[in-house]
Amino acid sequence: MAQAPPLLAIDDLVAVFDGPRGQLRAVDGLDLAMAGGEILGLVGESGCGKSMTALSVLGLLPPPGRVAAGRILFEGQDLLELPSRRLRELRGKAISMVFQEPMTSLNPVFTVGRQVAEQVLAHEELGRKEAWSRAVDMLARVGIPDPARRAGDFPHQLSGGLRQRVMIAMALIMKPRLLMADEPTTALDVTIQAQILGLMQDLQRQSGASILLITHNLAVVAQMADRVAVMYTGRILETAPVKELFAEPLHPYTRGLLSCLPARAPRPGMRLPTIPGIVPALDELPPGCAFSDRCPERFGPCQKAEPALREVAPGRLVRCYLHHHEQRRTRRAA
Amino acid sequence: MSQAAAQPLVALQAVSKHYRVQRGFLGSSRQSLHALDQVDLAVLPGEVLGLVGESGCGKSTLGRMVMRLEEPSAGRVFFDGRDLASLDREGLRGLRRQMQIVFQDPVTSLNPRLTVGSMLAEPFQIHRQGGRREIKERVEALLTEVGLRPEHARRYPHQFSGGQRQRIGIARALALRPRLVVADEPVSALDVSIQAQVLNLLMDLKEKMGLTYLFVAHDLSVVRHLCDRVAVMYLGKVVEITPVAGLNQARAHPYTEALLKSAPVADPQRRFSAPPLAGDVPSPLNPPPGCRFHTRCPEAQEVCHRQEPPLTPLGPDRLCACHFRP
Repeated sequence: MAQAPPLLAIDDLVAVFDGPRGQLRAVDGLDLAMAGGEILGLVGESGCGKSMTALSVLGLLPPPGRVAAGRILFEGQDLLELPSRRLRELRGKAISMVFQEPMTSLNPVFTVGRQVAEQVLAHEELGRKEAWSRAVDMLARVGIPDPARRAGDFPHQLSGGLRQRVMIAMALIMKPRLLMADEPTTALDVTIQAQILGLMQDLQRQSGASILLITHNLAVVAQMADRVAVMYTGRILETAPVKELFAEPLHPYTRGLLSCLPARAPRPGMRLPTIPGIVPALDELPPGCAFSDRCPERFGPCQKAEPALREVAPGRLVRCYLHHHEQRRTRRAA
Repeated sequence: MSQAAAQPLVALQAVSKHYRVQRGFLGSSRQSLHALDQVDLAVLPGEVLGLVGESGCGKSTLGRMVMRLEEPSAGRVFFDGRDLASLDREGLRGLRRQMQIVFQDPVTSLNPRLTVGSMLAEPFQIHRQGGRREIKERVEALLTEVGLRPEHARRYPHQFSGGQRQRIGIARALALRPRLVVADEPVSALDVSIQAQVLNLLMDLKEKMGLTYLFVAHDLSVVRHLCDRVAVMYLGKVVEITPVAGLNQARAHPYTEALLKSAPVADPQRRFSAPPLAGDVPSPLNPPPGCRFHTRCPEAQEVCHRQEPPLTPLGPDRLCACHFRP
């Protein structure tokens, strides 16, 4: 099968934090592939490792975090083997990132125009004037009204929505092939969220960049993503095209997550289905499958060994014995 | 029972709240921020009234006003027919037992240096209810009621997960068996799976104790699920009050329509097209004249710039503040 190599291929990634109580594996054997031009939604609850995955790709894990194993192939080259100078060249240019809180990720003492222009100056031999005018053009493209004047504003003079537009301008001005957006609209009001999501869709269509959209919000994923990967305790439990995932979730965790959304309740006011228990601490994972202690469908092999993430239908990967043929047979027999 | 006949548990009459803001060099210019402007609202006994709107619309201020955590600049707030402003300290304390608040952030709203047991004992001590043993028993019963275990009384807040901490916040609010609970974004800081657990708990407790909720939220899917009626707020004004079912009918207030269309739906078959509203919410320091929504309203006409539309009936149990509704 002659397929284009994926834009990003993460193999068996392990990111660890060494602490006083021992080592915590924030990302634990993560496999993920992204094609060019797609929007992949990476969803999961807080602490599941979705942000750590993105920071690993950028080589920006906060210390004492570090990547302990695995490969991160971007256009075929392993980012983990790259000298830091080469990685810095890629960062902000070929791969860029938008964070949740634009106020803390923008520098409060520089004008926003200068911060966008810096992105250009960091990667291209250009005069300051040219860089500035490119910055103003980019601010216009992300829908900032009166961009020539606004470029001279400091971050605190802009609303939350405009600040997030500035972040997106910074991230996209070098035309990256991969944009990682970590909860880009979580801090925003719903009408502003709709604007920013619309903007990201438009820019994605124009530029053909891939977007890794990291969020806990399943509704945002449903609106934006082509494919979805569901994460839990540092691993991927399920990957599927978005429509298939919402129509027929396979992993019991995905099923649980979707069914506890109030919007999907059969009628208002009814008791919502819940997932029993809470996400376990990373150093208190159950044996076998990481979800096994909360899983309503747990059976024989689940607490003996962790199931692999396996393709069970075209484009559908799931880490669950319920969908692995040999185990399913033993379950029926039991 | 007709809803109109019921005497409201809480009634706000032309309530405004203005904050003085100092700006400029050494506060050289003073401005006033209109957090709430001439709001009329009634919460009926036994209902869940949702309060929705974007940041700065005044929904939290309104909730705090009902709790008398803030004094209105103008207007009156009634609880069970009594004007809160007419009560002295003792009278207010008596009334406080009947209304409680649950905050959004279960981390900052719990005292990190008190055990859960002593925190939950406080309301009983303050209101002099029972001796030590009796209070201990009641604290343990309370913990069980919100889905925690009696032995949790000896632990500190940091030893709990976010969802458990919100259960503690709920237990504290319910200790004295209030009639009204103001829930200020009680599930927005929680993960989806935990959110469902806490919503179920709130619904169970309402059923069991006959509570009335004023439910401040920004997530419309939560509001739709839980609330009987909704008041939609924009820049310090209530622009629409409607039964939840009315949200699905056509011809809601243009802002309500925009909110509904902006909210992403957890269904990839129903994707939104263009964002319904351009621009930002104007500053409450300097709200636009006329209808406050006219700067962003897709249907705004000349009259909207000049004249503020009053809340007027739109059907039997619905009020809407728009020149072009119905």
